[in-house]
Order: sequence, then structure tokens, then C-alpha cells
Amino acid sequence: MEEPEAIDFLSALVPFTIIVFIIAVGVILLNQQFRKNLFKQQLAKEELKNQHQQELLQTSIEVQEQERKRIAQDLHDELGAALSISRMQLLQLEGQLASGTGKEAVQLKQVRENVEGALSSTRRISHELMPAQLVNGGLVSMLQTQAKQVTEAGNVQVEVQSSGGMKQMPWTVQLGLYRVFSELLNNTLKHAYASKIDLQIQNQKDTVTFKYQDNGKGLPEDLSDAGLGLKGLEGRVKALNGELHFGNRSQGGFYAEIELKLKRMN
Amino acid sequence: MSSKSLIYLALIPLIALGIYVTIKFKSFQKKLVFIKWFILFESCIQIIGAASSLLKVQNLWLLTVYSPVSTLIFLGHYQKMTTGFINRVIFRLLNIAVVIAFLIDIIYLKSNERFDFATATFRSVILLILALTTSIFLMNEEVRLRQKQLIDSFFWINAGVLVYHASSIMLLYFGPYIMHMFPETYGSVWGLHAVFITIMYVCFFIGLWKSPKQ
Repeated sequence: MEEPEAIDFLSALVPFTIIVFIIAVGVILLNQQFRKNLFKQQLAKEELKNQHQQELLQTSIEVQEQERKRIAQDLHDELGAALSISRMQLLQLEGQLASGTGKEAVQLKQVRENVEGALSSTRRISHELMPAQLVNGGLVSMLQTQAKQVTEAGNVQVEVQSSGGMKQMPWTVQLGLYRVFSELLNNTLKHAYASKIDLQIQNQKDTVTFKYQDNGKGLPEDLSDAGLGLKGLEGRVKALNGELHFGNRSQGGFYAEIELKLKRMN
Repeated sequence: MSSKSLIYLALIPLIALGIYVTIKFKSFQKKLVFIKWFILFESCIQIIGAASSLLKVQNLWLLTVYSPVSTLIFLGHYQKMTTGFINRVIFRLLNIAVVIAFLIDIIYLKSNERFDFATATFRSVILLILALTTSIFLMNEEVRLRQKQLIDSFFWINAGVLVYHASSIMLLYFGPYIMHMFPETYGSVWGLHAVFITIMYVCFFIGLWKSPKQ
């Protein structure tokens, strides 16, 4: 009598087990689908977030440069002009007092020299904020002028080589690369004790390549303090949608390479 | 309390739910549209079923209508709930599979003459897979953030579906064995079914109550 009951229970249990198995497989497959789609959505969200951050960075740098341009312009037009006029008036007064007592002429001369110093500082600050030659002559002209000034001034020989259509580069790229070069040059002159700096810049098929190298000490092993300027450079290059690679050369010295795709920017 | 009383008593929460849905019909969020229609449809079917039973008229033909329509309604609900997370193609295939299965059932198995075990199992399996997957889905942080407003509603509605269909599968497979072993439990199995369906109605009510109104 017990056997028929066992068979009845089995006849319920076996299909039930199969059903449970089918349900388990179904749940696992659907769950896989769900996770895959969720992951895709999370990636898309991250991509959007990165894009937004990139845009914010670009806008921030653009605003900063616009402000610098405005301040440079104001310094040149207003302060520079006022100091120039003051200098001319002082020169006139000096001329008038030339026959007077020596003390007043000397004091006046000191005031004029102070004004000339202030005027010179104004021009320097204005130039550093927004070099006129960069605005008028373009990037290569500015780089070559700067290279010549540094070479003539000290013990560092700076060579700039360029190829391709530099003038076709957007203004923001030219300004960005100029800032990068200024920062790298500054670092080399302050810390690297190099005797030679080479810069190659080319624009071919809408890809701009910027290669900087020196024969100095190279980067220190501990970059925690020294790295801040380089972090700024990374941010600037990222804002231009470019890639920055830097490090120590095998034969000694420092190198930095930037690649920008101009089409990506447009 | 006899099982028959339980079966008739199960109508009360359903009718109350049906009245509630009718009154608040337009104020529910769009994502709950299928549940609204399910409740109204279920109310009609159960009332007709109860009336047929009282008048001693054969009412198994109602299952032939109820099973495919309610399955398609639930598939619509789950599709709406999981939009963007589970591909629409899967739901389209399930809809086609349901229609084909019930057509085969009507043409070849003639389930309006007796209780159809196969289609009841098929329905419960599909809905259990969806309900279990949705339970996992609703626990995800990303999903909870996106469905902030309706997360509680979805949870309760899904819980109702899960409880009812899990118990249905158990009753479908072990009910006959229990009734065979203990013939006096014949009515109790159906009484238990009535209890579980009442739990489902209560869960649906809580889900709709908790949903933000337009």
C-alpha cells in the first residue's frame, strides 16, 4: 500500500523540481540581462559626467584666459598710458629744472625712474598675461621670440622647430600650447639645470604634435610637490581634448609630448 | 470557517479594491496602468465566477479568458517597470509565447471543460521568473534612485504576485497529492488558494495606496 503513495508523491515532486529548475534558469538569465543593461547605463552616465567635467574645465580655462586678456588690455591701455604720460611730464619738468638747484633735479629724476620702473613692470605683467606677439604673430613667432630671448639671456640654448599649418590652429590651441611651453620652460630654467631645450611642433592632417625635451636633471622621484605644475598642465591639455605624456628620458633629462586632434575639438 | 466561505470572503477585498481603483482611476501614475486594468478585469471575472457558482453554472470557460489576458496584463506591467533594464524583445517574445500557448490550449486541450493544469503552470512559471527577477532588480541602488517615487508601490505589487504565484505552484503540484492522502482536505486546498489570493489583493492595495497621486 505504501508504494503507490510514494509514486504519487514522486509524480508531484519530480515535475515540481523541473519547474523550480526552469524558474531558476529563467531568473538567472533575466538577471544577467538586467546587470548587463545596468552596466551599460552606468558607463554611459560616467561618460556623460566626464564630458560635462571636460566642458566645465574648458569653459573655466576660456574664462580665465578672457579675463587675463581683459586685464592685460586694461593695464596696457589705462595704467600703461597714465604712467607713460606721467613719465613724459616728469621728463619735461626735469628739463625745466635742469638749471635749478641740484637737489630738486635729483629728486625729480628719482621719481621719473620709479615711474619708468612701474611702466616697465606694467608692460611685463601685461605681456605675461597676454603676449601681444602671440595675438598678432601667432604661436610659432611667439615661441621663436621667447626661445631667442632665453638663449641670449643665459646658459640655455633653446631650439624651436615647426612644420605644418600652424596658423590654421584654433586660437585656443595656440594659447594653450603657449601656456604649456611657458610652464615647461619655467620648470626647466628653475629646477633642471639644463643647457639645451628642444621643441618640435607640427600640425599634420589635423593632428598637432608637441614634443619638448631638455638635457637637465629630469623629474625627481618624489613628485608630490613638483607635480602640481604638471597637474595644471595635464588639466590644460585635457581641456584641449589632448593627451599628455611626460617623464625622464633614457639618456637623461625631461620630455613631454602632447597630441591633439583638432577635429575632436570642433 | 469553511473553505467555501473563505472563497466567497476573498471577493470582499477584491471588490473593495476594484471600487478604490475605479474612484482613483485617473490619479494613478502611468507606470501603474496595467495593475489598474488587472484589478478591474479580475473583479469582473471573479464576480462572474462567483455568480456562476451560486447559480450552479459551469464557469471553467472563464479561466480560458482569464489566464491569457491576466498574463498579458502582467507582462505589460513588468515591461513598464523594467524599461531600460530588460530588453523589450524579451517581453515581445513572451507575449507571443503566451498567445501561442493559450491558442494551443483552446484548440487542442479544450480547457473550458476541465481545470487546465498545463496553462496554469505555464502562467505561474512566467510570472514567478519575472517576480523573482524584479525582486532582485528592486534591491539595486541605481534602480531605487531612479524609481524613487514608485519603488514602494512596485515592491508591494511584486510581493503580491510573488506570494500568490509561488503558493499557486505549490498547490498545483502538491495539492493533488495532499488531497489524495487526506481527502478531507479537498476544500482546504481551495481555501488556502483563497487566502493567498487575498494576500495578493492586499499587497496590490498597499502598492496602489503608497503610490504618489497625480
